[in-house]
Amino acid sequence: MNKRFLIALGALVGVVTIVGLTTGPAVQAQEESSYMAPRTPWGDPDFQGSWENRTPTPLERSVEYGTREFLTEEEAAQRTQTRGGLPDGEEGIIAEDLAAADITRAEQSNSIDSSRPGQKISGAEYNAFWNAPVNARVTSLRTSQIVSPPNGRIPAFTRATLEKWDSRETARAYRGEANSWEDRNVMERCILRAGLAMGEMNVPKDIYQTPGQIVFDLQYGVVRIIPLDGRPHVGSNIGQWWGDSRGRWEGDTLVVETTNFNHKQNGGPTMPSHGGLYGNNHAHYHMGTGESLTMVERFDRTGPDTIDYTYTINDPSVYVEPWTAVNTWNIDRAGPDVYEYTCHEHNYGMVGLLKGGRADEKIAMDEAAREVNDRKPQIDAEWEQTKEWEAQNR
Amino acid sequence: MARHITLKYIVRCASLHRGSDRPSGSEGKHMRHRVTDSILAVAFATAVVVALVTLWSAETEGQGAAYQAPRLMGTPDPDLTGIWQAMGTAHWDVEDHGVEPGPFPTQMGTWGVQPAGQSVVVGGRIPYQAWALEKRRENFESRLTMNPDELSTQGDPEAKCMMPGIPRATYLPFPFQIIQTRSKILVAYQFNVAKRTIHMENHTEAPIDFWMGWSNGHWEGDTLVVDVTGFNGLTWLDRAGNFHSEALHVVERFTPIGPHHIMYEATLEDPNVYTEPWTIRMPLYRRLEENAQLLEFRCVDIVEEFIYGSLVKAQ
Repeated sequence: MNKRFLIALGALVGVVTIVGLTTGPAVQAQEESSYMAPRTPWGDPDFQGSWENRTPTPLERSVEYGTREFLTEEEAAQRTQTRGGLPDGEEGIIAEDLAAADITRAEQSNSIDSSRPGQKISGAEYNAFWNAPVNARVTSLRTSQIVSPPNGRIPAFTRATLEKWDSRETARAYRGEANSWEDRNVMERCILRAGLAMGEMNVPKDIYQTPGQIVFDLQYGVVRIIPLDGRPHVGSNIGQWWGDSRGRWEGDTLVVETTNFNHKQNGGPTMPSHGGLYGNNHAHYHMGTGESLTMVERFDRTGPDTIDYTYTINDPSVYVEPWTAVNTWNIDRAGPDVYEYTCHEHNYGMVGLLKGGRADEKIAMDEAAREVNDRKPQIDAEWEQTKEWEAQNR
Repeated sequence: MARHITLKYIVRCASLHRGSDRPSGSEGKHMRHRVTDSILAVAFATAVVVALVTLWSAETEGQGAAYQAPRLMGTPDPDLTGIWQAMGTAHWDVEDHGVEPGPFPTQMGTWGVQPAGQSVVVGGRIPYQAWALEKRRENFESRLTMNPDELSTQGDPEAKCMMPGIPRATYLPFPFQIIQTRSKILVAYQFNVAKRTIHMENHTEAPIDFWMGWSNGHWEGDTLVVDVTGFNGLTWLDRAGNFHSEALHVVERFTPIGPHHIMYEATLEDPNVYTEPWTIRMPLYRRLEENAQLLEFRCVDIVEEFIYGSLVKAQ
């Protein structure tokens, strides 16, 4: 029985091999890369797994590189150095170092920060881990994630956008930092965490596939469920923060088109301008209203451990031309799960900001009152002088 | 009927088949076994095909205790993939409840009304400890109070757009989607873009506490059994103030009872709050609308005024 079974199995393997040999090279010839993605039981290229996309490459290119897309090896090594990259083998101790730094800060949280006399450092005690050198040991020769336009930079904004931006800034000029929640950006409000596409910030992500759909579970509170069955987009009255995505296979490439972004993408009329482009240049909020925005993402599994992720943002009401960025995803076999991400649930930061805003106003009012009080004798004296002068000159 | 006979036949073939794999002593026996094996192999293969066809027809046939769900492609697991939703009014109150005007009848008319509904609690009542019954009353009375200093500890978390927890997420008046693979099942809820991962392999204890708990799952026949622990104790069970502590342990059972129905059961054990474990039971319905999909319900910007309104600058 066993022998017979083995023979049958052998024959099956043989057939599969022959089929593979005859069809494989033909398919591969059409692909840019020679790698053939594994298949799901229903025949789709299999992208499942945990992925991460940390990179030392900034979204926009430094002007000094002009249209040069790649660094030399030496330049890349230097960039890694200056951006805090670690030598091989030291990556593992980063977490412990950061935890130790947090513990130290927590212990000091009730003491006085020497650099800011009179101010406790309470509230900043757990933040060291955010500074994890995410680019450690990840190398790339790219000068920027943006590959189109050729200067590697986000294209110019349209006149309409600049005018809108200008009027928003004017409106803001008469407001404080925290008159209401609308003076804070969408990230502080726990609405959106990263940019539009999935490349702009390293978010742990799991890919699931079932027949007719692909699902991206992103740690920052988003599950993108993308139908692959050719159904139309939802109606134009439905606008969503993450839009409405439809996918299809072009050969082994997954192509996802997203429309139906909501009209709140720019964070509202009073969001401070630093919410536009900020921080480490890895995250970018869309400046427009979202309604004329479309995004096309392409996923190529270039090897057992990598996906090339390319996305094009097109919003003719915001940018004078579309722009395209490239980002490599690496499989994270040892990676932890995508954990629950809550933010709004404990957003005492917003409570603190608003209370701080009210406290600042009270301090300003009190100071104004004190000033009036301090000057009262002088004002009274001047008033007496005025009355005297009037009496003499009547 | 035919299905039962077929299944019995498969079991018999399989057991005979296993028997023939035992090491045999003599050559003569070996020869005969070969022939028998071939026949059995063919019979077994046929039986499998017949069984699959029968299962396929069972899918369209409908319901009953003997319903067998189709398999998740490429696996032996029942396929629970799809968009599901509970009906009824358990999100108002898991126990029996009558019609009540909503909290703002002068502004909302009938829109905010709590409809009457029958208890989804097996036996009707939650077996609360005496203090907990009093606490539920306090919860109910303060369900819409908003104190920014008690952001996550006072009032109904649903009203404040916070993670609903388990089992509440299941019977909120919103759909949820099961995305199933062999090793992990992702459950995505429309409400507040909540989600949880059910770990089907590598079960571990909850590493920290979570709003949605920590889910480990396994199959008992066609029933998906999910063991949920690691709660943070901040979630409620409904708008009536029914609650639990961080010691909550939920065992959920998802049993397919037809192509478009799952019987959902959740047994709640919490020695801090209840006198004994108790069970919720209700059917879940597949959303059959053409092109049904989850839509975003990201409610943060809807509740900001409710939550932070008392802290903004006076106009």
